[in-house]
Amino acid sequence: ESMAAELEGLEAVLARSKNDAPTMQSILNHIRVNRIRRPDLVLKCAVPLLSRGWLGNAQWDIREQLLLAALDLHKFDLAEEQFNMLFIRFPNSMRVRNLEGMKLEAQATSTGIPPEQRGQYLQDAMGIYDDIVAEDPCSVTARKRKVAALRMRGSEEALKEAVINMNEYLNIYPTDSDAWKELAELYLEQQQLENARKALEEVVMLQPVSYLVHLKLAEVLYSLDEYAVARKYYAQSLELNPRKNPRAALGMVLCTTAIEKGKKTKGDATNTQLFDLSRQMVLDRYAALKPTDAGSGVGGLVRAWLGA
Amino acid sequence: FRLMSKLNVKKGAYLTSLLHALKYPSASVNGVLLGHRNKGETIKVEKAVPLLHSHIALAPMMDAAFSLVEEYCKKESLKVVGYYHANATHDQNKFSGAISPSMAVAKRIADRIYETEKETDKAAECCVMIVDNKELEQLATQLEISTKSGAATDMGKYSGVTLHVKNSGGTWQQLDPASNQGLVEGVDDGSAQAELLSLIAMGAYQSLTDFDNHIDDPTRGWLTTSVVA
Repeated sequence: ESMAAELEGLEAVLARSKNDAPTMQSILNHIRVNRIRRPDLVLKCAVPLLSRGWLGNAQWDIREQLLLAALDLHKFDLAEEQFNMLFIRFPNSMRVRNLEGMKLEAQATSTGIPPEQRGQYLQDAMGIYDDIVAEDPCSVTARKRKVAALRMRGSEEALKEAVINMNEYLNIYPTDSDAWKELAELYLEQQQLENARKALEEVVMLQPVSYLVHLKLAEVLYSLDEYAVARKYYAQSLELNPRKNPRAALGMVLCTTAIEKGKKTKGDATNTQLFDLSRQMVLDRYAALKPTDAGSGVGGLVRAWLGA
Repeated sequence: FRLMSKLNVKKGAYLTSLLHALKYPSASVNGVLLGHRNKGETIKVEKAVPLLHSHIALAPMMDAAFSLVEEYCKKESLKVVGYYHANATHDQNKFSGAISPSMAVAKRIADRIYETEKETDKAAECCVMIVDNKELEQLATQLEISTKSGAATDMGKYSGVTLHVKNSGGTWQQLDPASNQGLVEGVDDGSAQAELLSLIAMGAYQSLTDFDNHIDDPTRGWLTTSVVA
């Protein structure tokens, strides 16, 4: 939330300052560091910055960023231009080769190209990643790009292959929690909740004080109808972040309600306590809204639902 | 003599679902369709309510959203009449036959909605609106042509969505707009598509709020408000 607000602030500053170079550079940094996907903003800042020509070595990061933004917006000429400059400057760079793969992946999705051409672009992209991995079996970027490219294809076979590749990567880098999270995502896309659960359990071990990770695992367990275990993780998530954790509060309400409904599990005092606690959290959140807030209408529905 | 159409979708509902898909081009998005249904009559979709743009396969947030949607329906005398879905990837647009994993998720949710409605109303009917990315691509091309040359186009042929209902055998069947089976208001004469274009130009999709957005920031209006008239 605060990130979006900060970005909005910078956008406003940019609008006011009209091509002020330091502002544009700080916006680009902010986007890069926080991995925000706003290719439109990147273009607005990077193109005028680069045309000024006095950036020196700082230009290369910006060119890379612009290349990726151009690919996102399907501005392939602009992308090609940036890629060529990067390739001339860094002809033996693995990083640039990875970018070439991404460029091919993006071109594969351009409007109106025939399916055979599409297939060819994707094959070439995968070929580049395979080459990089063959040269450097520990390559992080190329391995991850392979998984991303397969995930984008979205077919049953592609997703299965993505899982295999992700597991191969995790054999080399078992403490990369982002990769375990991605593996969980791949399993969820195939509705393999049990496997997703196992992957998320690894993440919890690697990030034991992350409220988001506990929440995520709780949601998967809830989806598996494992309400008792889900409740533990919801509780842990709320303990780690009691103040701004609406999904955990909502989830706890639902979870304890489901437990109460269960024939074998009803009548548990802890359950009632947790229900009351989380229910109050949800109600408080809506009570804090002003009548002029557009979302206050939902407050009425929440109170009706929770019998307040 | 015209056959009564099985399904009628209000322009606002159609536009909402497309704006939702456009707001999150790299994610799958979904939502619930509200309206009226009476046995043997046309299913009328009055409103589309955007739900999620992440972790669509997970149950808790869907359950929470549906609890609130139920309260809303009671208040506004509406019924849950369907589900909409837009896949993240370009190719997976088929909703019947051999479907992709992401579409299997959509189907599971749609089936669940249908079964839940059937529990309280044996005569319940439900529909599904799929944002078809390939159709959307065709529509985008048409819109580009019409913006550049202003020429009359085949726009009325492309809505960017496909519509489905459960047939008597219990499987989802795609409706054919050409034979008036499933209609989206304003699509045939291209007026809905033109409105979509102007909404995109205004950046209306940025101000669209789905349930995910509302949970993150409850001051944002959801369900009781809409970014589309």
